[in-house]
Amino acid sequence: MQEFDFVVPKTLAEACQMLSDGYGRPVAGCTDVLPQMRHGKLKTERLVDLSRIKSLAYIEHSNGRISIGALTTYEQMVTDRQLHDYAPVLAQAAATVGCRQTRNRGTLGGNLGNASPAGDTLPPLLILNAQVVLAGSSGERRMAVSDLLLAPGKTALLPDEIITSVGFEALPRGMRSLFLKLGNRQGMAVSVASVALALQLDGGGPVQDVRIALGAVAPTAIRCPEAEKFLIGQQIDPITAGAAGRLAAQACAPIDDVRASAAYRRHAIQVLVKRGLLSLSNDGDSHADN
Amino acid sequence: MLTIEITVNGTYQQIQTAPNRSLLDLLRDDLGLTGVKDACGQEGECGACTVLLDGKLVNSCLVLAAQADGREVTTIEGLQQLERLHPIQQAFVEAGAVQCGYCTPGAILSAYDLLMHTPHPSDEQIREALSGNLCRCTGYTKMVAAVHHAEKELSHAS
Repeated sequence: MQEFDFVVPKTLAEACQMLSDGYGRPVAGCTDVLPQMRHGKLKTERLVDLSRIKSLAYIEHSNGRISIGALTTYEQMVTDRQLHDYAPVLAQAAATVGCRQTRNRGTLGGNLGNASPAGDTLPPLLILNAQVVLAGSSGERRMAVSDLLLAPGKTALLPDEIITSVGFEALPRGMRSLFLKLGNRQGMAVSVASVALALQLDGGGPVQDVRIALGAVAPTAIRCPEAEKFLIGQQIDPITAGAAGRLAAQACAPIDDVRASAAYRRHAIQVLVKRGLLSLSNDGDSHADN
Repeated sequence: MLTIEITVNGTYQQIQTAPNRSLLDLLRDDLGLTGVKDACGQEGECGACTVLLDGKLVNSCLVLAAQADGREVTTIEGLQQLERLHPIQQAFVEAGAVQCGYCTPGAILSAYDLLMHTPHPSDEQIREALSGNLCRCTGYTKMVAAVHHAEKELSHAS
């Protein structure tokens, strides 16, 4: 592996200082960064290891708002009861990441900072309308996750900024959510296509509110406003769910790569959106399997 | 070079290491713990280098040696109790869950981690727990049987 300096800040302020010259790269679990460095896809002169800043690993809930520290691991999200109650879609997505070994190391902040189109927590964060809190030498700022993610591997972070937490409102009572992921196998899979859905029906009838986001089928995870608008006021049945699936497939911009072709991804999105909507409308089980 | 303090299988040590070395490099090459294997070229794909870091299951190729500073590591060598195999190791032997053996230490540590959290796992839970440990020989059937066998041994022992 390439040579680099390794520094371990104890505080956030120290970390920002160590990144301020633009030559550093913040890391925590390293589950994405180390393979990228070994492949020469990522070069850096200095790794700034945030993993000793313990104050950044937490999941808090107060007044209907959830805040998750950037150093929270996938495994912590999988096992957190509050998250299962208030944003099950995010806990579900975290459970599909890699294997236990990677879930014990990889962090929510890392998933955001890497900005992979296939990052599994990103579609759930989009339908939760989540905001990130960033800390830098010149202070703190907030932005929507949708504004943070610019392109594969690119975020709106300034060189000396660090993602410190992610916040969102708990899903409204009665709103069911679901994460569906298609990989090339069940375990240890990077998403070929993924869908995060939240659905609220008006008294079990027409759609009152719906949120749809897609992963691994565009340069970033994306919301699907066309499909969402179409569904408002509709009864969910195989015809409307199928039509929403087609609108979602039109909204995406997939590529051919080692894992799947663009055409397959587009088809997969159509199927996943339809399947997810039918599953959410049919039963109260928000953990329904695909 | 960096100096790190690390407790490996109960033994505290101070070790010099370069920033670009992984915990796997340190354990296998510097400390000679060859039960920690490298099968995928340190990409985090195969799980052959699985160890416990402060009691948590990790791929040691995805941890920098420097990140293990001040921490405790348990490898397969630390699971064995003196001259006796750990009941999970013994169960893998008896069930014939070992063929080429390359994935075995990692798979046993994953099974250990599972049984510590879930003393009576279902087949599906066992398969999920072993999903990060690639085995090209056994087809996993005998590994699942071995974990059930170990489950019984451990519940008798406690």
